[in-house]
Amino acid sequence: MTARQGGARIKRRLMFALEIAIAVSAIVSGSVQAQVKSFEGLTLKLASQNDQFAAVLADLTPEFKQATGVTVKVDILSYPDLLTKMTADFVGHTKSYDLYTTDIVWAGQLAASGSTVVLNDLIKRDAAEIKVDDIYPVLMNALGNFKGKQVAFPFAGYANILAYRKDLYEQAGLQPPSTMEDLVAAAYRLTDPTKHIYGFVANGQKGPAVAQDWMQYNKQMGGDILDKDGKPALNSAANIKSLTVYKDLFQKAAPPGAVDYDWDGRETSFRQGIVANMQTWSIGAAGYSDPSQSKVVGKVGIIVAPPGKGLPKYYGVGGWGLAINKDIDQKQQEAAWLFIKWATSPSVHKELNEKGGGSYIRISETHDPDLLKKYPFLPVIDESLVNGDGDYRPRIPQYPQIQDILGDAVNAVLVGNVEPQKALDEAQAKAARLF
Amino acid sequence: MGKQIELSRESSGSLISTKPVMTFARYRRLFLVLLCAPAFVYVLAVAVWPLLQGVYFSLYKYNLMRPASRAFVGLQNYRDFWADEAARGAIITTSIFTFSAVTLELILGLGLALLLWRDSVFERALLALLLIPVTVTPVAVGLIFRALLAPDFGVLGYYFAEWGLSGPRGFLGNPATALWTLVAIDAWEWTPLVTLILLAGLKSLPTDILEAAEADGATLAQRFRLIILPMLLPTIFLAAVLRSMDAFKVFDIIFATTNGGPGDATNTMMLFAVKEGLQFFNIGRASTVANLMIVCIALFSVAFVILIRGADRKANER
Amino acid sequence: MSRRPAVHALVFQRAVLLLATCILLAPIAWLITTAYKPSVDIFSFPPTLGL
Repeated sequence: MTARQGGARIKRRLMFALEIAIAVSAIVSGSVQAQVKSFEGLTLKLASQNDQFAAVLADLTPEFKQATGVTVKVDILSYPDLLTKMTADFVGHTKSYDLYTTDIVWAGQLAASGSTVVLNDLIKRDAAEIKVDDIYPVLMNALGNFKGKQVAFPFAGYANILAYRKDLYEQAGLQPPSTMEDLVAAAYRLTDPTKHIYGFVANGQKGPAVAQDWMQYNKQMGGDILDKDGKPALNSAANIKSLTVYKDLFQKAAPPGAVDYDWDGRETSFRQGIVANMQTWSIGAAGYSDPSQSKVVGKVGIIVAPPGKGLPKYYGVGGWGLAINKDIDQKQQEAAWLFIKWATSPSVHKELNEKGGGSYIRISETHDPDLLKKYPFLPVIDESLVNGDGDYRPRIPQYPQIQDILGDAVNAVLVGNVEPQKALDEAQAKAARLF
Repeated sequence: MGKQIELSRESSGSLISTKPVMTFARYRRLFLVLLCAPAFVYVLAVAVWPLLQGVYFSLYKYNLMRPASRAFVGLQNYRDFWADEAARGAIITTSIFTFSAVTLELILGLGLALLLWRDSVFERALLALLLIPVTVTPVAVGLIFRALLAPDFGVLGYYFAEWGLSGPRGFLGNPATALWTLVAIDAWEWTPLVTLILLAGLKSLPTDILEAAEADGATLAQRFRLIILPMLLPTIFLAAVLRSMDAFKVFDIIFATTNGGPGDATNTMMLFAVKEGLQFFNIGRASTVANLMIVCIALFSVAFVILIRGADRKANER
Repeated sequence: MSRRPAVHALVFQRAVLLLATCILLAPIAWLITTAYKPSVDIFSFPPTLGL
């Protein structure tokens, strides 16, 4: 064979291979197109919590319609409304909504009732498309996994962070707190009721508000709601101690009305400038630099929530996942899964955050240069999520009752009706009856 | 009532007539019954049936999220409710709230009604304005007052705290004053309605007796005590029973302001029922609370109706 | 001569009515004025009655 003939042969083989490749890719993309376009004309109904991401998500749904032909209707509901409607829908099998945003703490009850589609196989099948490794492991676990069953897919990750007044700290010559003990000391130092400046604020209102905030501080101070067997241990020595500290802070370092505050109240007090330190969810962080909402623009520093001295660095994690209603028919379920993949994909989710969604689930997002320019506190969120703890509020099926019991007990202590030891002993007795 | 419509003429051949003789009276009765039937069926379906279901469920331990664990427990739910100290406190709190709110509204409402009795343009315009608080949604009322009374940045609450009128935690944050504040909020919302009812009652009083009393030289106070008040008693009781039924079920303003706190100061039975039923989905226990509320409301409604009948009879004797 | 007390009484009654109406409508007025404010001004510290 001459060199020319050999060269021509290779060229023919290359051409042949190229033709096969083109044909195969045409078939594959054609079938993917066919698969995607076969959902044309469907409508999905999504019930969303009224957090900052909801309005942005509603705005983005026309893009999904353009890409796939599926219309998505977003209903924005308050927390109790959402929980009630969701449970009623599942219990009555009424198929009112195809998709729900689910709170981190609902994973246990959803797994126990089996009302949402278990996503483990779907995730495995589409792992490359979803880029599972890009999602923070703590969020994949906390925002929808319970004992191995993935009942929801992470959609909005929140980190518990500390927002503090840089100007007040500078004035007093203090460094931003690196341990919980520092924070408590700084809170007392910075409190000056004559100037209406208080060093500390948290939820005090009876019910879920005070229960959730106290559970966060409790974990940071070394307490735990459950013991290592997963049974309630509400009156452990560490819990009693942290409740005493919490009560002292409320009496000596918090605005007087804090005993009635829920999330709205404490955010308002910080934004109005009367509070020096507040631990809060990262989703609210952008609001402090917005003049239409905040009187402390430019004076707020964002750092990780300080752990107790000598304790491991575990930062509180919260947020919302997306769950698919198991009652809807197969085609709707597939369309819903397509929506979840689309909404949590790197490009769409980045757009969600650029427009103010404040919800981070991907490592790439918190390192993205465009987002960093707009929200310089992203490294704080990143550190919190890498070392995050999504279980300081136990995500078990009995969570609503435990939250309620604690809500009563902690509020009673803050108001001065009972001593921490007695309140937690009674709470423990009530909680033990649930198991 | 005398005319006989004999339908059995059609089968005049047979001596034994099987069709009932339809008198006009019977026709009319049948027509009226049929006319009421849709409403009757509706009430049965929407009110009576759920009520019976509620009683049925209260005998079960039934959680909607764990339907498999449903079990008959007889009166255990009622025993549990009575054994719970917070629950017993809730009954007392609800009763105190109802009694105080209704009394305050009646007194203020009667005062306003007497002032509005003169029926000129001014009074009529003011009555229309006064009814605006009644039209506001109860949840919105709760949120408005929560915002106003917040001790740290509420327009009213801040100054109350600054000037020492309320404690530093505000009226709603202090267990001693929280319930009375809610009574005041309830009065703010419903006094105009009581005024309207009492004003209607006042306008229906026979004027000849009042004019005669004035001619006889009775003072204002005497006229009020001896004539107006006794004749107005049926209307007063009517307003009282209407308001009591609603005040006992108070929920929105409490949920929107204090959520039952601080401590247990504003914990009412309806809050209990909603928490058990719509947060924990414990249908058994929620039904128990709801049934107890029905019993309480029924008891004092019956008492009031008896009082109204008695007062009505007395008023008509004059 | 008995007209005078009647007029006084009328003025007094109407004044009380007006006062009651103002008290009852004040929260509604506050509600309307805050509807047009940005959220930073609604819960202001110190609180402003401003329009």
